[in-house]
Amino acid sequence: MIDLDEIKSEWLALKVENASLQQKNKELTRRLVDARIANNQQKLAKNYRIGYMGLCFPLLAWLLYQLIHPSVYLCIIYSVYGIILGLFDLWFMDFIKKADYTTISTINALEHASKVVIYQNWATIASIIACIGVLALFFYEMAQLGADNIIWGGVIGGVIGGIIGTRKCIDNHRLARRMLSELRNIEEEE
Amino acid sequence: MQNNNDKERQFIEMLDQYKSVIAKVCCIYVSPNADFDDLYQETVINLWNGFDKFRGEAKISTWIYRAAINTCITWIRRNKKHSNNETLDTEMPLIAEESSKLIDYRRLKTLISRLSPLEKAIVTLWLDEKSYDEIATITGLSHSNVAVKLHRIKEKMSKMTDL
Repeated sequence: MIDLDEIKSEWLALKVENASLQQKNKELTRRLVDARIANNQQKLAKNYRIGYMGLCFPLLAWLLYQLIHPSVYLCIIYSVYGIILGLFDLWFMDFIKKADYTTISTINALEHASKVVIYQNWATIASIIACIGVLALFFYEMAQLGADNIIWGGVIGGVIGGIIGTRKCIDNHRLARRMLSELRNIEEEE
Repeated sequence: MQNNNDKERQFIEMLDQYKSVIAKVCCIYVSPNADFDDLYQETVINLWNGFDKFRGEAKISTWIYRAAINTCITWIRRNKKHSNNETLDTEMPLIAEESSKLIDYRRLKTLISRLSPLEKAIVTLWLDEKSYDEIATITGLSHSNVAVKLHRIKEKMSKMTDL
Protein backbone atom coordinates (compact mmCIF):
# COMPACT_ATOMS: atom_id res chain seq x y z
CA MET A 1 0.00 0.00 0.00
CA ILE A 2 1.18 3.46 -0.79
CA ASP A 3 1.40 6.13 1.88
CA LEU A 4 0.11 9.23 0.12
CA ASP A 5 1.13 11.64 2.85
CA GLU A 6 4.71 10.44 2.54
CA ILE A 7 4.54 10.82 -1.23
CA LYS A 8 3.23 14.34 -0.71
CA SER A 9 6.33 15.47 1.16
CA GLU A 10 8.53 13.95 -1.53
CA TRP A 11 6.46 15.65 -4.24
CA LEU A 12 7.06 18.98 -2.53
CA ALA A 13 10.78 18.27 -2.38
CA LEU A 14 11.06 17.67 -6.13
CA LYS A 15 12.84 20.43 -7.99
CA VAL A 16 12.49 21.60 -11.54
CA GLU A 17 15.39 22.05 -13.88
CA ASN A 18 15.87 25.81 -13.67
CA ALA A 19 18.21 26.66 -16.51
CA SER A 20 16.32 24.99 -19.35
CA LEU A 21 12.95 26.36 -18.21
CA GLN A 22 14.31 29.88 -17.81
CA GLN A 23 15.67 29.72 -21.34
CA LYS A 24 12.37 28.34 -22.61
CA ASN A 25 10.48 31.15 -20.85
CA LYS A 26 12.62 33.80 -22.54
CA GLU A 27 12.26 32.25 -25.99
CA LEU A 28 8.51 31.75 -25.70
CA THR A 29 7.95 35.28 -24.46
CA ARG A 30 10.01 36.73 -27.31
CA ARG A 31 7.94 34.78 -29.81
CA LEU A 32 4.74 35.94 -28.13
CA VAL A 33 5.84 39.58 -28.25
CA ASP A 34 6.60 39.14 -31.96
CA ALA A 35 3.21 37.39 -32.38
CA ARG A 36 4.93 34.36 -33.91
CA ILE A 37 2.98 31.70 -32.00
CA ALA A 38 -0.66 31.02 -31.26
CA ASN A 39 -2.37 28.54 -28.98
CA ASN A 40 -4.62 25.70 -30.15
CA GLN A 41 -7.71 27.71 -29.37
CA GLN A 42 -6.60 30.52 -31.68
CA LYS A 43 -5.54 28.09 -34.41
CA LEU A 44 -8.86 26.26 -34.25
CA ALA A 45 -10.82 29.51 -34.33
CA LYS A 46 -8.86 30.65 -37.42
CA ASN A 47 -10.12 27.58 -39.33
CA TYR A 48 -13.60 29.07 -39.14
CA ARG A 49 -12.67 32.35 -40.82
CA ILE A 50 -13.74 30.47 -43.92
CA GLY A 51 -17.22 31.55 -42.87
CA TYR A 52 -16.53 34.82 -44.71
CA MET A 53 -16.37 32.72 -47.90
CA GLY A 54 -19.84 31.35 -47.17
CA LEU A 55 -21.18 34.89 -47.15
CA CYS A 56 -19.86 35.24 -50.73
CA PHE A 57 -21.97 32.35 -52.01
CA PRO A 58 -24.67 34.65 -53.45
CA LEU A 59 -21.95 36.21 -55.64
CA LEU A 60 -20.72 32.74 -56.66
CA ALA A 61 -24.29 31.72 -57.43
CA TRP A 62 -24.65 34.75 -59.67
CA LEU A 63 -21.40 33.82 -61.51
CA LEU A 64 -22.61 30.23 -61.88
CA TYR A 65 -25.84 31.52 -63.33
CA GLN A 66 -23.94 33.63 -65.88
CA LEU A 67 -21.68 30.70 -66.92
CA ILE A 68 -23.79 27.54 -67.06
CA HIS A 69 -27.36 28.86 -66.58
CA PRO A 70 -28.70 26.59 -63.84
CA SER A 71 -32.17 27.30 -62.53
CA VAL A 72 -32.79 30.36 -60.34
CA TYR A 73 -34.11 27.92 -57.72
CA LEU A 74 -30.70 26.20 -57.54
CA CYS A 75 -28.89 29.53 -57.25
CA ILE A 76 -31.11 30.61 -54.37
CA ILE A 77 -30.62 27.30 -52.51
CA TYR A 78 -26.87 27.51 -53.07
CA SER A 79 -26.78 31.10 -51.73
CA VAL A 80 -28.87 30.28 -48.66
CA TYR A 81 -26.67 27.24 -47.92
CA GLY A 82 -23.53 29.39 -48.06
CA ILE A 83 -24.97 32.18 -45.91
CA ILE A 84 -26.22 29.82 -43.19
CA LEU A 85 -22.93 27.93 -43.02
CA GLY A 86 -20.96 31.16 -43.15
CA LEU A 87 -22.90 32.70 -40.26
CA PHE A 88 -22.51 29.53 -38.21
CA ASP A 89 -18.75 29.43 -38.84
CA LEU A 90 -18.33 33.04 -37.74
CA TRP A 91 -20.45 32.47 -34.62
CA PHE A 92 -18.45 29.33 -33.83
CA MET A 93 -15.15 31.17 -34.29
CA ASP A 94 -16.31 33.65 -31.66
CA PHE A 95 -17.52 30.85 -29.36
CA ILE A 96 -14.14 29.12 -29.50
CA LYS A 97 -12.18 32.33 -28.86
CA LYS A 98 -14.25 33.69 -25.99
CA ALA A 99 -13.29 31.10 -23.34
CA ASP A 100 -10.45 32.55 -21.29
CA TYR A 101 -8.77 29.59 -19.62
CA THR A 102 -7.05 31.81 -17.10
CA THR A 103 -10.31 32.99 -15.54
CA ILE A 104 -12.93 30.23 -15.93
CA SER A 105 -13.07 27.24 -13.60
CA THR A 106 -11.81 23.80 -14.66
CA ILE A 107 -15.36 22.46 -14.86
CA ASN A 108 -16.34 25.29 -17.22
CA ALA A 109 -13.19 24.79 -19.27
CA LEU A 110 -13.99 21.10 -19.68
CA GLU A 111 -17.57 21.93 -20.61
CA HIS A 112 -16.42 24.48 -23.18
CA ALA A 113 -13.93 22.05 -24.72
CA SER A 114 -16.57 19.34 -24.96
CA LYS A 115 -19.10 21.71 -26.51
CA VAL A 116 -16.54 22.76 -29.11
CA VAL A 117 -16.17 19.15 -30.18
CA ILE A 118 -19.92 18.51 -30.17
CA TYR A 119 -20.77 21.67 -32.15
CA GLN A 120 -17.99 20.89 -34.62
CA ASN A 121 -19.44 17.48 -35.23
CA TRP A 122 -23.04 18.68 -35.50
CA ALA A 123 -21.97 21.36 -37.93
CA THR A 124 -20.00 18.90 -40.01
CA ILE A 125 -22.87 16.41 -40.16
CA ALA A 126 -25.45 19.11 -40.92
CA SER A 127 -23.28 20.68 -43.62
CA ILE A 128 -22.66 17.27 -45.22
CA ILE A 129 -26.40 16.56 -45.32
CA ALA A 130 -27.19 20.03 -46.65
CA CYS A 131 -24.36 19.77 -49.16
CA ILE A 132 -25.73 16.45 -50.40
CA GLY A 133 -29.10 18.13 -50.96
CA VAL A 134 -27.57 21.03 -52.88
CA LEU A 135 -25.32 18.70 -54.88
CA ALA A 136 -28.24 16.37 -55.67
CA LEU A 137 -30.11 19.31 -57.16
CA PHE A 138 -27.02 20.43 -59.05
CA PHE A 139 -26.43 16.97 -60.50
CA TYR A 140 -30.08 16.66 -61.42
CA GLU A 141 -29.74 19.82 -63.47
CA MET A 142 -26.46 18.55 -64.99
CA ALA A 143 -28.32 15.37 -65.94
CA GLN A 144 -30.89 17.49 -67.73
CA LEU A 145 -27.97 18.98 -69.68
CA GLY A 146 -26.52 15.50 -70.39
CA ALA A 147 -23.26 15.86 -68.37
CA ASP A 148 -23.11 12.21 -67.14
CA ASN A 149 -19.42 12.16 -66.20
CA ILE A 150 -19.85 15.00 -63.76
CA ILE A 151 -22.76 13.23 -62.16
CA TRP A 152 -21.10 9.83 -61.65
CA GLY A 153 -17.86 11.34 -60.38
CA GLY A 154 -19.73 13.49 -57.91
CA VAL A 155 -21.98 10.72 -56.63
CA ILE A 156 -19.16 8.26 -55.99
CA GLY A 157 -16.92 10.88 -54.34
CA GLY A 158 -19.77 12.20 -52.25
CA VAL A 159 -20.84 8.80 -50.94
CA ILE A 160 -17.34 7.67 -49.99
CA GLY A 161 -16.40 11.00 -48.42
CA GLY A 162 -19.71 11.26 -46.62
CA ILE A 163 -19.42 7.82 -45.05
CA ILE A 164 -15.86 8.32 -43.83
CA GLY A 165 -16.48 11.83 -42.53
CA THR A 166 -19.77 10.98 -40.85
CA ARG A 167 -18.31 7.97 -39.02
CA LYS A 168 -15.45 10.05 -37.65
CA CYS A 169 -17.83 12.76 -36.51
CA ILE A 170 -20.08 10.26 -34.75
CA ASP A 171 -17.11 8.82 -32.84
CA ASN A 172 -15.89 12.27 -31.75
CA HIS A 173 -19.41 13.25 -30.82
CA ARG A 174 -19.79 10.16 -28.63
CA LEU A 175 -16.59 11.00 -26.72
CA ALA A 176 -17.66 14.58 -26.16
CA ARG A 177 -21.12 13.46 -24.97
CA ARG A 178 -19.49 11.12 -22.46
CA MET A 179 -17.41 13.97 -21.08
CA LEU A 180 -20.44 16.24 -20.78
CA SER A 181 -22.37 13.54 -18.96
CA GLU A 182 -19.47 13.11 -16.49
CA LEU A 183 -19.60 16.85 -15.89
CA ARG A 184 -23.36 16.70 -15.27
CA ASN A 185 -22.80 13.88 -12.73
CA ILE A 186 -20.35 16.14 -10.92
CA GLU A 187 -22.96 18.93 -10.80
CA GLU A 188 -25.56 16.49 -9.43
CA GLU A 189 -23.17 15.45 -6.65
CA GLU A 190 -22.91 19.09 -5.50
CA MET B 1 -1.42 50.63 -21.76
CA GLN B 2 1.72 48.85 -20.68
CA ASN B 3 4.82 49.38 -22.66
CA ASN B 4 5.64 46.12 -24.46
CA ASN B 5 9.11 45.92 -22.96
CA ASP B 6 7.72 46.31 -19.44
CA LYS B 7 5.09 43.69 -20.11
CA GLU B 8 7.69 41.29 -21.48
CA ARG B 9 9.97 41.81 -18.49
CA GLN B 10 7.16 41.41 -15.96
CA PHE B 11 5.83 38.35 -17.74
CA ILE B 12 9.23 36.65 -17.79
CA GLU B 13 9.72 37.46 -14.09
CA MET B 14 6.35 35.92 -13.30
CA LEU B 15 7.11 32.82 -15.38
CA ASP B 16 10.47 32.34 -13.71
CA GLN B 17 8.91 32.67 -10.29
CA TYR B 18 6.16 30.15 -11.00
CA LYS B 19 7.85 27.87 -13.52
CA SER B 20 7.84 24.96 -11.09
CA VAL B 21 4.05 25.22 -10.72
CA ILE B 22 3.53 25.16 -14.48
CA ALA B 23 6.10 22.41 -14.99
CA LYS B 24 4.62 20.15 -12.31
CA VAL B 25 1.09 20.50 -13.65
CA CYS B 26 2.26 19.80 -17.21
CA CYS B 27 4.22 16.78 -16.02
CA ILE B 28 1.07 15.30 -14.48
CA TYR B 29 -0.76 15.52 -17.81
CA VAL B 30 2.09 14.37 -20.07
CA SER B 31 0.99 11.42 -22.18
CA PRO B 32 1.85 9.85 -25.54
CA ASN B 33 -0.42 12.46 -27.20
CA ALA B 34 0.58 15.42 -25.07
CA ASP B 35 4.25 16.03 -24.64
CA PHE B 36 5.68 18.33 -22.00
CA ASP B 37 6.88 21.00 -24.42
CA ASP B 38 3.47 21.30 -26.10
CA LEU B 39 1.62 21.60 -22.78
CA TYR B 40 4.14 24.06 -21.36
CA GLN B 41 4.07 26.25 -24.47
CA GLU B 42 0.27 26.20 -24.63
CA THR B 43 0.05 27.21 -20.96
CA VAL B 44 2.50 30.08 -21.41
CA ILE B 45 0.56 31.37 -24.43
CA ASN B 46 -2.71 31.30 -22.43
CA LEU B 47 -1.03 33.16 -19.56
CA TRP B 48 0.30 35.78 -21.98
CA ASN B 49 -3.14 36.24 -23.53
CA GLY B 50 -4.70 36.71 -20.08
CA PHE B 51 -1.84 38.78 -18.61
CA ASP B 52 -3.26 42.21 -19.40
CA LYS B 53 -6.67 41.24 -18.03
CA PHE B 54 -5.33 39.89 -14.72
CA ARG B 55 -6.21 42.50 -12.12
CA GLY B 56 -5.16 40.67 -8.98
CA GLU B 57 -8.68 39.67 -7.96
CA ALA B 58 -7.30 36.21 -7.23
CA LYS B 59 -3.89 35.19 -5.92
CA ILE B 60 -1.40 34.99 -8.75
CA SER B 61 -0.62 31.35 -7.92
CA THR B 62 -4.34 30.51 -8.16
CA TRP B 63 -4.51 32.24 -11.52
CA ILE B 64 -1.48 30.30 -12.79
CA TYR B 65 -2.68 26.93 -11.48
CA ARG B 66 -6.04 27.52 -13.10
CA ALA B 67 -4.48 28.42 -16.45
CA ALA B 68 -2.10 25.44 -16.38
CA ILE B 69 -4.74 22.90 -15.36
CA ASN B 70 -7.34 24.21 -17.80
CA THR B 71 -4.82 24.22 -20.62
CA CYS B 72 -3.67 20.66 -19.98
CA ILE B 73 -7.16 19.30 -19.42
CA THR B 74 -8.60 20.86 -22.57
CA TRP B 75 -5.55 19.74 -24.59
CA ILE B 76 -6.17 16.18 -23.44
CA ARG B 77 -9.88 16.57 -24.19
CA ARG B 78 -9.30 17.72 -27.77
CA ASN B 79 -6.55 15.20 -28.52
CA LYS B 80 -8.46 12.32 -27.02
CA LYS B 81 -6.39 9.39 -28.19
CA HIS B 82 -4.43 9.30 -24.97
CA SER B 83 -4.14 5.96 -23.28
CA ASN B 84 -3.57 5.18 -19.63
CA ASN B 85 -0.52 3.11 -20.45
CA GLU B 86 1.98 5.89 -20.09
CA THR B 87 5.63 5.24 -20.40
CA LEU B 88 7.78 6.12 -17.48
CA ASP B 89 10.43 7.25 -19.93
CA THR B 90 8.58 10.41 -21.00
CA GLU B 91 11.12 13.13 -20.66
CA MET B 92 10.25 15.78 -18.12
CA PRO B 93 12.39 18.47 -16.63
CA LEU B 94 11.99 17.36 -13.05
CA ILE B 95 14.85 16.19 -10.98
CA ALA B 96 14.84 14.75 -7.53
CA GLU B 97 17.57 15.10 -5.03
CA GLU B 98 17.96 11.39 -4.48
CA SER B 99 17.28 8.49 -6.82
CA SER B 100 14.87 6.85 -4.31
CA LYS B 101 12.68 9.96 -4.42
CA LEU B 102 12.72 9.81 -8.22
CA ILE B 103 11.46 6.23 -8.05
CA ASP B 104 8.61 7.26 -5.73
CA TYR B 105 7.83 10.16 -8.02
CA ARG B 106 7.59 7.79 -11.01
CA ARG B 107 5.31 5.47 -9.02
CA LEU B 108 3.14 8.41 -8.09
CA LYS B 109 3.08 9.60 -11.71
CA THR B 110 1.96 6.17 -12.88
CA LEU B 111 -0.77 6.04 -10.23
CA ILE B 112 -1.99 9.50 -11.16
CA SER B 113 -2.07 8.56 -14.85
CA ARG B 114 -4.94 6.19 -14.00
CA LEU B 115 -7.13 9.01 -12.74
CA SER B 116 -9.55 11.08 -14.82
CA PRO B 117 -8.37 14.56 -15.94
CA LEU B 118 -10.42 16.27 -13.22
CA GLU B 119 -9.16 13.89 -10.54
CA LYS B 120 -5.59 14.60 -11.66
CA ALA B 121 -6.26 18.32 -11.20
CA ILE B 122 -7.60 17.81 -7.68
CA VAL B 123 -4.79 15.55 -6.56
CA THR B 124 -2.11 17.83 -8.05
CA LEU B 125 -3.49 20.80 -6.12
CA TRP B 126 -3.66 18.71 -2.95
CA LEU B 127 -0.06 17.54 -3.39
CA ASP B 128 0.96 21.21 -3.68
CA GLU B 129 -0.77 21.87 -0.33
CA LYS B 130 -3.62 23.94 -1.67
CA SER B 131 -6.53 24.32 0.74
CA TYR B 132 -9.93 22.84 -0.09
CA ASP B 133 -11.20 26.37 -0.69
CA GLU B 134 -8.45 27.08 -3.21
CA ILE B 135 -9.06 23.74 -4.94
CA ALA B 136 -12.76 24.58 -5.09
CA THR B 137 -12.04 28.05 -6.55
CA ILE B 138 -9.77 26.67 -9.25
CA THR B 139 -11.86 23.67 -10.24
CA GLY B 140 -15.33 25.20 -9.84
CA LEU B 141 -16.45 22.44 -7.46
CA SER B 142 -17.96 23.16 -4.06
CA HIS B 143 -15.87 22.82 -0.91
CA SER B 144 -17.76 19.70 0.19
CA ASN B 145 -17.48 18.11 -3.24
CA VAL B 146 -13.71 18.66 -3.20
CA ALA B 147 -13.49 16.90 0.18
CA VAL B 148 -15.56 13.96 -1.02
CA LYS B 149 -13.66 13.65 -4.29
CA LEU B 150 -10.27 13.86 -2.62
CA HIS B 151 -11.24 11.18 -0.15
CA ARG B 152 -12.36 8.91 -3.02
CA ILE B 153 -9.21 9.64 -5.02
CA LYS B 154 -6.98 8.77 -2.07
CA GLU B 155 -8.89 5.53 -1.51
CA LYS B 156 -8.68 4.70 -5.20
CA MET B 157 -4.94 5.34 -5.27
CA SER B 158 -4.30 3.39 -2.09
CA LYS B 159 -6.06 0.37 -3.51
CA MET B 160 -4.21 0.40 -6.79
CA THR B 161 -2.00 -2.64 -6.98
CA ASP B 162 1.72 -2.16 -7.11
CA LEU B 163 3.26 -1.60 -10.56
